[in-house]
Amino acid sequence: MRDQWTDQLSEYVDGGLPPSGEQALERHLDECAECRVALAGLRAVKQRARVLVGPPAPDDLWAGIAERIGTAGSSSARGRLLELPRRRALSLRPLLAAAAATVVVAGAALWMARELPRRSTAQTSAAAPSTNAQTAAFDASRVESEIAQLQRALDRGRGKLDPHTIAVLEKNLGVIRQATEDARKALESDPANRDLQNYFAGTVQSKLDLMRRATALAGV
Amino acid sequence: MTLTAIWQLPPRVVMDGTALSPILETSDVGLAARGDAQAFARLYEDHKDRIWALACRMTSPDRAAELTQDVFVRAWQKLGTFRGEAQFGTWLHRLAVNLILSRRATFAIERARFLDGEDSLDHLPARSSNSELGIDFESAIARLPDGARTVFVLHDIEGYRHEEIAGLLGVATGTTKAQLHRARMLLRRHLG
Repeated sequence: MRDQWTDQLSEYVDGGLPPSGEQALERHLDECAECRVALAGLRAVKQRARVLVGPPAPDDLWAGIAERIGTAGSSSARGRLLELPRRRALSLRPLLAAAAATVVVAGAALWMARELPRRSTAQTSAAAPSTNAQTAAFDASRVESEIAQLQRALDRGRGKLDPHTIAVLEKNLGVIRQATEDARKALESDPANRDLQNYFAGTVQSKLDLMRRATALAGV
Repeated sequence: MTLTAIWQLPPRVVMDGTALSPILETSDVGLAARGDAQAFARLYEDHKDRIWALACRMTSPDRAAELTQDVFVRAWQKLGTFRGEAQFGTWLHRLAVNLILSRRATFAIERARFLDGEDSLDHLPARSSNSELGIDFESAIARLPDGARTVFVLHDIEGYRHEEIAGLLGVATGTTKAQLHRARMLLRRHLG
């Protein structure tokens, strides 16, 4: 059975015919018992499909999945997750922890620098070519400019990010700001200490890099 | 990398849920997106039967195990791209359909005998007792020709629209409508 009418029955069941086509088909149905039977069958199939309950999944599938995603027998799925090439989920928390740890290290280094015997300064002074060259190694104004940029980015993120995340990022930014200020003061009192210059330049820069990554990952 | 360049990075990365809605952040979806395998296992439990049934109906039970596993592994890998615009189940289902359709090309030869499947439907008993009706109906669906079966499963069982199916299959809506009609006409015999 295939003619111009039966081919329209499914679309009629789905309400997909235009009004004119629907009316024409209904007039035909009034006269054609065969099409009425077919229509009833099509409606029954559609109704049956709607309430069809599928077969349950077997119980032994998860083990294979767990093995393939690298979590089988491990309580630390996170570490393995990061090894998967196509998964890009990253955590902000480790970055912030790293930033905080860097700040702590920087603070300890600052304390050590202040306690360094003067002979250290004398040794490095002999090797230092000029004060200008040392200043280029740690540029506090440039660092402060970057901190200001990060602060503006965080301000833009207000309302979009979880307030706790903003608070954590701001707290770390404050720590970096304080560390930068401490570094600046330390270098003022010991401007010829090139090691200290290089150390602060590298440390503050690494903290800023971590903060940039953290804020970028936060989507602000 | 300059500050500007970092700022221009797409914010798609899900980290600590900040790219997800507050509701998702505390849900299994949010937890799984952050790498919580136990949360992902719970999602699997919630959705496995539907994905399994989809895989069975669109291919065959002997293929469904591998496909179901592939779907969930792919979901785990791509969960970082789920932003919560749709329900997780909808997102997962679409992922499953795409994966199954892409794999089906390699299975097509094995199902060649069903391409002229109207005859194979004739080998099934037209109808038995009501208690077996569901099984009979599933068997009848499994014996549909490939094209008709795919469209029938997606449209009448899974609720996709013709436009969506046509897009997924890369055919015209007229083709999907014709395939659906063919499937229904074949199946109506098994409902008496």
